[in-house]
Amino acid sequence: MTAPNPEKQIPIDAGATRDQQADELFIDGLLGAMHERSSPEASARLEKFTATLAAESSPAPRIAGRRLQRFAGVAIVLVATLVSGWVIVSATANQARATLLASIQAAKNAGERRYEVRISSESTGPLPVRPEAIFDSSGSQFLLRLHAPMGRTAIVGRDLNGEWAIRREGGIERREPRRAWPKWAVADDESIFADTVEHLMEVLTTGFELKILDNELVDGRDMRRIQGTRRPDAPRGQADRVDLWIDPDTMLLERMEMDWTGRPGLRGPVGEQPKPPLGPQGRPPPPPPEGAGRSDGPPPSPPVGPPPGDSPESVRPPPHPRPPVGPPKMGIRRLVITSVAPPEWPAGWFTPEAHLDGSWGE
Amino acid sequence: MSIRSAEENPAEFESLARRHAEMLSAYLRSLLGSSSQVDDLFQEVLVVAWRRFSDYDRMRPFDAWLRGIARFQVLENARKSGHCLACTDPHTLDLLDARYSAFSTLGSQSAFADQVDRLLTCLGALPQTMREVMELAYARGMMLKQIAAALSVEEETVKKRVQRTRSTLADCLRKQGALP
Repeated sequence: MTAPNPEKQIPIDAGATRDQQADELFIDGLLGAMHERSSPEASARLEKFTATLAAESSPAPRIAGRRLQRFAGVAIVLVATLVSGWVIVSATANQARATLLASIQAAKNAGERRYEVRISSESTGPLPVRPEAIFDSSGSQFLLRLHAPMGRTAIVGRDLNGEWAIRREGGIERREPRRAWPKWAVADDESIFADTVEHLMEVLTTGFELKILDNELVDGRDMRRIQGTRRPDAPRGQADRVDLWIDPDTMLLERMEMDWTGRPGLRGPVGEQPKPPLGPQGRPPPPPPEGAGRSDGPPPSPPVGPPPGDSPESVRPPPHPRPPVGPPKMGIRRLVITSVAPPEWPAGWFTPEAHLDGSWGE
Repeated sequence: MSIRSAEENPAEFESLARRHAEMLSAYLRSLLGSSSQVDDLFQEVLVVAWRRFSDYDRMRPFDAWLRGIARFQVLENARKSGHCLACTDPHTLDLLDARYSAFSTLGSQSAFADQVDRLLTCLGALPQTMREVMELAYARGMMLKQIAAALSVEEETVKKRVQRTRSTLADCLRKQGALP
């Protein structure tokens, strides 16, 4: 792979808004393509692929003509070169990735969707009836409502004016809405929800070894099945295993299960959070020495102490030091995202004004 | 849903690939910012699409499907090589994709190339200083340093001018209803 020439490309304005950056990238691509039209590179590009196509679709002996035979020879070398880059990934992994990609793309073109999120501190057994979070989306707009600790509700979203969050004290936060993201939904500085389900799926394409399993009947419908196993170099907070069920007709995600099997999961609003042991005179113990509280193993070190705040104003240092990581801890061991039929949303559903009262809203 | 692999219908695939080749080049160029990388990725993306053609849902636009593959391939390459212009921010990539979607669907029968011609109108309406710098940067493929020397200005000035002109061109397309 050739590295880009940093002197030739004129970078986009790093200080511009995302919209302006997208504009710049778009125009850069268009101008590049426009000026390439008459260049030999541009036409050679497609011809090179056509050669590959010819080699893959037709046996070489059937290709008539000397030039075409030579063409086919080149094509075979090309295909061999391209294929050699792929052998590191098994056919099933390719298929799984392709299915996942198709699903991500389908999600981007899909209309209104709703997913319910249920979490459990047990690896097996029934899931709670009440969803811990509800994720609504329509085009680029989304709304994420979560039951936060202490009986509160965290509400964040994106409307046509950008991302927002409802402050715990009330009011709309548009400047730094990400700080209002519930901490339990964040693993290793990465939101386990990302901000759309398809972004979460994109994470899977890089952090997990994927394989396609046999189709499975879910509610009488035949679903494609993909299973992902966390790669050793993936962020520590990622789930150990992820299972996905994808509707082959719509290519949309129907269900996703994330398992933190065999290690303490993410801290979540489920269960009682363990209090740090008290030290002498009933005071919290001194902080652990440098390096303590960490292990080479996969368990993340979730924050302890009072539940983390859900608003920018509530961000404050924890009153207790972090205890060493060690079993047992309560936390999320299983997180299940299920697609449900979206209700008819009232106008302005994705705007913060519709959720200013901080209630679940339905 | 009709599921056919590219092997079963190479003509259909080739026709779609040809129709969207310029869009794919432009999209890759947007993501990579370098023509040399576009060459490599262009082949990779089409070969992946060819092999996965049976996964393509014909109810969905082919160009969007192709961009999905392209985006993934670019991200994969970026992960391995550490080079990527825009892959650090998925939101920006989403916004970029939305622009390509809007642009590609402007005229259902029009080729992407025809749509690109709208840009010519916008280029023609630019002030002289902006048109000049874009000519040097894109049509003549000059480096930042060379452009600065040619125009007798600082490199930073060239950079800002190009950035501002790109935004101006986007606004021009937007006024034509070609961008969201």
